[in-house]
Amino acid sequence: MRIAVRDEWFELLPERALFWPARGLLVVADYHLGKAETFQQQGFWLPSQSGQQDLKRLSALALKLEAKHVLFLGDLVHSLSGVTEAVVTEFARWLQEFNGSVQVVLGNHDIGLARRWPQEWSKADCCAQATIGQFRFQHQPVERPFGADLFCWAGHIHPMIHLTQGPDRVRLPGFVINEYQGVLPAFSSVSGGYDVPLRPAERRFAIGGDRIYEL
Amino acid sequence: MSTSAKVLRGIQRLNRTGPPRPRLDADEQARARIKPWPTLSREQAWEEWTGWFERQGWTPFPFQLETWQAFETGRSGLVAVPTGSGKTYAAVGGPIVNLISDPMNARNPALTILYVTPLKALARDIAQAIQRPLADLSWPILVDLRTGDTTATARRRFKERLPHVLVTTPESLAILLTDRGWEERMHDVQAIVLDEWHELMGTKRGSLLELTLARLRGVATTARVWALSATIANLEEAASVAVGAGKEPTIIRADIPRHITLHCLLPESIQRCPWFGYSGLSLLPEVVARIDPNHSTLLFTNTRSHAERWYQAILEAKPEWSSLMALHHGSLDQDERQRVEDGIKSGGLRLVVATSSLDLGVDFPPVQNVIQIGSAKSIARAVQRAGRAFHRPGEDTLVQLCPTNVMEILEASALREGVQDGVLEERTQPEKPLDVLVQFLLNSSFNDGFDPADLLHQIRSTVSFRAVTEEEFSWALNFIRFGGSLSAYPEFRKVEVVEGWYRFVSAEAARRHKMNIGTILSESGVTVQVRGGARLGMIDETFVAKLRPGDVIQFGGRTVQFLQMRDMTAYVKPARQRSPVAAVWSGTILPLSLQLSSYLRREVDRLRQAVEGLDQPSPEIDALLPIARIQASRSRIPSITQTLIETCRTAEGHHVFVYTWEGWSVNEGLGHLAAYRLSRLCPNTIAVSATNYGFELLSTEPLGSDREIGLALTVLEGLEQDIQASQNYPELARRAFREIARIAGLVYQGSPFARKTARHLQMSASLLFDVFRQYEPSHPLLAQAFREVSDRQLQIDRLRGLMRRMSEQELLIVPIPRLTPFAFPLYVERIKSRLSTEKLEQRLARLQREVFR
Repeated sequence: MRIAVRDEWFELLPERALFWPARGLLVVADYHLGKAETFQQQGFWLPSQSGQQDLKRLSALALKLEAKHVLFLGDLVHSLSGVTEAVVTEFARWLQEFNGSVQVVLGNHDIGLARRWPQEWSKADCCAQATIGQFRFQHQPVERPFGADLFCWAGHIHPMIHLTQGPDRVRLPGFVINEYQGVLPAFSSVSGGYDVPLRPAERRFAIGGDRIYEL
Repeated sequence: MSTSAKVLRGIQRLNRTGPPRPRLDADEQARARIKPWPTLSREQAWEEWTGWFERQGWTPFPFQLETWQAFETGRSGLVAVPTGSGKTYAAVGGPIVNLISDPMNARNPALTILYVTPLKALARDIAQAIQRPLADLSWPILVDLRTGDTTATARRRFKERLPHVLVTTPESLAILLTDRGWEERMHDVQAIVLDEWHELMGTKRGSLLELTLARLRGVATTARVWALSATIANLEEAASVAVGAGKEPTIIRADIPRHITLHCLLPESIQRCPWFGYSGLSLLPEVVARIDPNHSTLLFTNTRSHAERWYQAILEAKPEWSSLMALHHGSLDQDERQRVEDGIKSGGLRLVVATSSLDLGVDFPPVQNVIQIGSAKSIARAVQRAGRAFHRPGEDTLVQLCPTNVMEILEASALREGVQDGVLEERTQPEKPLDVLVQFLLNSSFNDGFDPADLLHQIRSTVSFRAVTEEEFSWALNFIRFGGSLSAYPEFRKVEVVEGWYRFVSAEAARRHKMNIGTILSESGVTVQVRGGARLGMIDETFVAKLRPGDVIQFGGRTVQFLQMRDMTAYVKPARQRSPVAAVWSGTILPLSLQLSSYLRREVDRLRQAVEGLDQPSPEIDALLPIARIQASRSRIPSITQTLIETCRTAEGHHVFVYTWEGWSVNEGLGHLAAYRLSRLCPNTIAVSATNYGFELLSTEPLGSDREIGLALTVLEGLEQDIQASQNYPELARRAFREIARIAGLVYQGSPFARKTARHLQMSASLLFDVFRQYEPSHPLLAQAFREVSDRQLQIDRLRGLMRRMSEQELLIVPIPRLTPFAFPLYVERIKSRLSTEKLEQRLARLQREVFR
């Protein structure tokens, strides 16, 4: 679904990502690489295939959109211990294959990793936040506007949207956008989320299957 | 905490709870130990023991004598006897006499008797009951407690100095078996007593206890097992589950004659009784009129929330009773519950509003008056509640039932018929639940762990798991070792194999599992505490989430204002406000039992006969006549050989109401099955809602011809496939999976004290369900979730029986001009879920007036 923010077009994607066509920029929040491995090390089962599946999803998406840049909006990895050799290699292969630049905005889960950034991932640039035009990209959402000139794109809270209609209740990941900020859903296919309460002057977009519904 | 602060808190507590209740005093116990061990022959010991009974003015009951004898001859078995009839002494008499007359015990104290109770609130009472004769006889036998509430100090003391008798819960017993050196400590156990065994039958909690006991029997090879149970239909099976597969249990029945009279409270005008609802408060005047503050009364409700509301309503009606009445339910603080129980015993409290928390064996003298709010939904449960009134053997028991809606008047009449016929429900164990098996393997992986061949042998000695196959067992072994079923995950670390023994990879992994032991799935609870004061009890997190600071709620019979939520504690302060919102806990309405359903259908037929002037009406049926006449004029009342189906069209769409009286879970299953079948004939969106009496289908398009509706409800061919294809099947399985994931340790529970840590291991069972379905669709635990839905929730055998019956019956498909008394509750059940509570009651009143028009 295409929406206008500050006179720029953005594409909200049912693949749980954001695309900025004018810049060829694909934005992915809360990727949580190595989540399955983190769980496994602690004796809780999650299939490693889920991580591989997410990489495939990302490649296909970048290809389809002909993205020139990919920006990870924080929480690229789930935990330092989950970044095993296999995980490093797989992600490095994706970096090699992707024909464009990659930027990583660091999130709270990435803190440990930032100091021991794998050599194989040197193609990706790390930063605490990124500003492009009048858009600020950072992991944690802001409490109040930066000022009239900056619009913030953030992740972190994995917004989930509750729909209730009679006895029917569904809970879907989605985008929550107001006049100064937009929050992206988590890209990871094995992440839960936080139920966002409905606030006035907010647009909410729920992802149902391969479609986006504005509520 | 400083000493003075401790003293201050002590004083506060004293002020709150009155004088301290008697406790197990460690010093007194230590003195008891110093007493010399008496030299008694077995005959002398028996004489002293029965002599104690005589001094109390009691004659041992035949069932007690029988149980003592059976124990002496080395038997294991089950004693079926109503609560409060002296079953504790029946069970412990044999082993205590055995213990005291064995001179070896003087020198070599050992844990001899294990007493397992499902309710930790009962443990203290039981320990005191056991101690009474011991103290009077100066027998230096040590009794101790071990429950979830036991302090760390007491746990250490236990390891240093074993008691002879230990009273514990199934969960605490399982945890005791994870301690290093438990084998030596438990080696000499001679008697294992399983109290309130009927409560554990038919539950996974019971399955896990079976396994725990199997492991214990592997060590305590001479232990005899005695289960104490209220009467249930399948006592032989219950006994066999208790003692283990392949053994011959002795069954002892107490032949205490007890006549139960069930009396239904009827309003003067039937208009005062609502057509729908579960609280019953509209009959408050009738109930209050039955309470005499000179005699003690127990008022049972089916839910904690109703207990709160009834307590408040009675208090408002009779403020002068405030010092004589109290509230008792499972979410109240333990001290408060204890105070109430003591109040009943001493006679200081004359009216206690309670839930099933008072159902189980707390021993207190007969209560003159028992009032049950709402139907008990099963005959056995009604009989058990009756057990609270006039406990004295041989005396008559009266239970007054307050109906919460008009149909419950009919249910009361059905219950009475069932009780008179002596009918009871069965409780059967789940068939080898794999989640419980996985947990048991993990429970056995502490310290040096287990040898798989030995453990399999023990597992197969239980009734629930005797048919576990090699494949299932090795799957479970692989699962705890490698995580997945389809592929190995090299990072997975939980249990390792060292020289053939399975054990935890690290102390951390073991510690994490320890917090997961047990099968009780509880809502995450929030402590309710007065700021700077007493803890009141626990409340559901989901309820607190809806509160805003300043909201006034009713909790534990008090009116309090919610201040703030911090560290899993909801802080409140006392408040004054009339009609606050009663706290709500999650929970489901019990479905009608199979047995009660069949009695209820007969009562419906009697109602029809009464309208047609064929039957001499009972008081209940007589009271219902005005409503029955409306039903008969607008539609029909089915006979025992007919099934009634009503159809109508409103602005909302096309309605079909089907009445089966089979309990809501079966009705929900049949409703979704019919919805699936009808929507396949003609694409349509159909909403289903169900109650204990029937279900409603609602759609915007016509639902099909009469013939098609009839076929959708009765064709048995393709039943399983259609149920699996029906829309809500995966949703029900997802719900069932929540419990499975928790029991099998698939999700991280965390410690209640360390809630903030380990966020990175949080994973919801619902999401895990999706992940399983995507990556390991054939996973045995996933298959179990679906099986549980069809076997235990939809009760496919019962559903099949219902459909077969309907196919042989005449289907009365009646178009109705507007809602009938039968249809009304179904209609409300659906709209209820989309209205807020205040508006609902007004809207219901209006609806009811319209139907009466």
